[in-house]
Amino acid sequence: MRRVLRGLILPLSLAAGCVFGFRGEAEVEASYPLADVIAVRVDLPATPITVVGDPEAIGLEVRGAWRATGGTAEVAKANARTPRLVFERDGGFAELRAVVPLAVEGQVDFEVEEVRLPPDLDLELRTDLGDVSVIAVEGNLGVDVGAGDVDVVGGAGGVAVRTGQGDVVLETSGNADVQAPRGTVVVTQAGPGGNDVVVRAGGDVQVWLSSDADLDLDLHGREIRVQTGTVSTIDGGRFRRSVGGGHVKIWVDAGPGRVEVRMKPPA
Amino acid sequence: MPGRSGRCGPVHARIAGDWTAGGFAAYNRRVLRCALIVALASPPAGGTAPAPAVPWGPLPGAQAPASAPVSADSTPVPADSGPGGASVDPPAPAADGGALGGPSPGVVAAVPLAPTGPAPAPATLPPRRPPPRSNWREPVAPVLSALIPGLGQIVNREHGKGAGFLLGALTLGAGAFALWRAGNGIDGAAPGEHGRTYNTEIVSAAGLGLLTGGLHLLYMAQVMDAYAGAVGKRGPRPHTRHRLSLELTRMATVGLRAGDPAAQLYADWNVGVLGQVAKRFSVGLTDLSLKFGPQRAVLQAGARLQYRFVERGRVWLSGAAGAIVQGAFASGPPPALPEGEQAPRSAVAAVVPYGQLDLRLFILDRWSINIVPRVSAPLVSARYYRDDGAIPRRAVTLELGTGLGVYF
Repeated sequence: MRRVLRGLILPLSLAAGCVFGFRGEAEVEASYPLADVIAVRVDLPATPITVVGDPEAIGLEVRGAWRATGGTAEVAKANARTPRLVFERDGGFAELRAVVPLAVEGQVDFEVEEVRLPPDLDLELRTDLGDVSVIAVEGNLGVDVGAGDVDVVGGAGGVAVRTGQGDVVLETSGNADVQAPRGTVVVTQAGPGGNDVVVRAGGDVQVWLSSDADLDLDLHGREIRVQTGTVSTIDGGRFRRSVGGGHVKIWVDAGPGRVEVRMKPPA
Repeated sequence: MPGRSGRCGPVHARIAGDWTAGGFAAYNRRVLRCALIVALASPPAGGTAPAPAVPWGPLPGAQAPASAPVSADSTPVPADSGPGGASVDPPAPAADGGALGGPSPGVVAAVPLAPTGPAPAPATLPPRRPPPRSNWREPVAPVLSALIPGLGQIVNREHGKGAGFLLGALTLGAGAFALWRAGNGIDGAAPGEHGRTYNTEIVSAAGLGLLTGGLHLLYMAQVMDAYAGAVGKRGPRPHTRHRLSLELTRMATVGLRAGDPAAQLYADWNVGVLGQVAKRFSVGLTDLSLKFGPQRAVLQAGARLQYRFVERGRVWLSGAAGAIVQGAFASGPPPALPEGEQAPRSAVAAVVPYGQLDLRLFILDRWSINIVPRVSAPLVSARYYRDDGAIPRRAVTLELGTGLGVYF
């Protein structure tokens, strides 16, 4: 009896603490019509998202997969097939979102491979957790991420980015408003310049200017470096300077981080 | 004749020898000291109530004389003083034949009392217990140990044990904190990382579970031990005939996740009440807990049958079977769906049957810590944990529980 007990208890104690399960996957490939739509919202659960503005796209095209766990292979597959994407239109506004029933909550994960849409649409992206990459979307662009890096090239109509935790790299010819309380920010003015750049970050901030005319510089940071044709300084704390009419706002608050404003190297 | 030395000094040498003024004074001081000791050791007068009889004997180091007895106030004790009066054991004869006579304070102190009449039967009394003294360590030591592990043991003058508990708690806590910090909270943010770090995450989650489990087991044990040390109790006698037991347990396991990280520690604190309905056999309501996730609230309760098949000293080993019933309820606004589509269920229920062993170690008579290996599998629906944790339906699960129990 004792031997049996010892032989039973010890292995159980050592092996205790694991779940035997399976993984399942259900691919998603869908296209939703966007005729007469001028603004699109994509609101997805935690997933990395890559959005590409494609002139040949006829609608909102989504490719990805639902991944799930289950006690058996069948349960895992069934779980992967349970959640779904819902697309709704209301006049010129369309929204794509995910519906995850309570029965599979915590057991599924949506992984977007790519989202394509016409480049001239306004786009709003939301996700709890995931790196976001937006390329060649030239309408107004809004990105709201709980945690994840954001990389945007485009957004001529203006860009607003907020990430709770992560870095931001942005290249735009539109006005840029960036919040990254726990990350670094790099903003590059695309085109001839002249667009406003407003940044609030918890890390280092770099701004690359296309033009140094007509600037309104208001910079906060542990260390400030400005190197343009018209302004050159190395400072700390706060730096204010207007150049010309001061119509192009370069407002940066890096908190404990460093601020660097320079001219973009010639292409 | 050689004098007998003792706390009261050489008595007979002074009695038999020459007296000087200084020697007499010293002798008197010694005798008064002896009288004071006897007076303090004697039973209280108790007003009119008769004082309990006390077997009197010679003072420490002094030999009992064989002379005629005298009373404490140098008057003969009445023969009818009775068992409740001043009746005492008859004096033993002096070994050296010395005799003390005459009413003298020193003689009073050294001579046992005896009735003058017929000697009654010797009174037998229960041994005197020391008066209860307040032990400030009883409440203080466990509280201090609860605040800082090992501090109660140090207060109990068990410095080595206290330092060991403190060092153990610090080591386990630091290890758990390091593992927790090492985990990448935004692992799932990067695309294409699924399963790539699975083994690392499994080891990390298992290590975190073991370290935190060991930490709270050590914490509970050292608080109990501080109390045991304060009351001077080292060999607990478990209450095998208890009627009721309360349990606080953390069940933990490491399971796979759908996203990244690909593995996660699932931990579940719960309470239980068991009643011993027959010898070694208990039934009760267990696994009671309430948990909250991002979009849900979960309520669970279970029933258990338990049989204790080993009782060896402070160690018990039990086997048990039971089932947990868990209800999960969606919180927040329902998901917006296109018209005509059926809304998903806002509540689901799961049944989790299980079998387990319970290895229990008693630190105090009524307090114990335990380790519980368990095998379970959620049926009907998934089993939910706090935050976004969930073990899917039909997933066989090995859990390891750690906790404490108190018996009434």
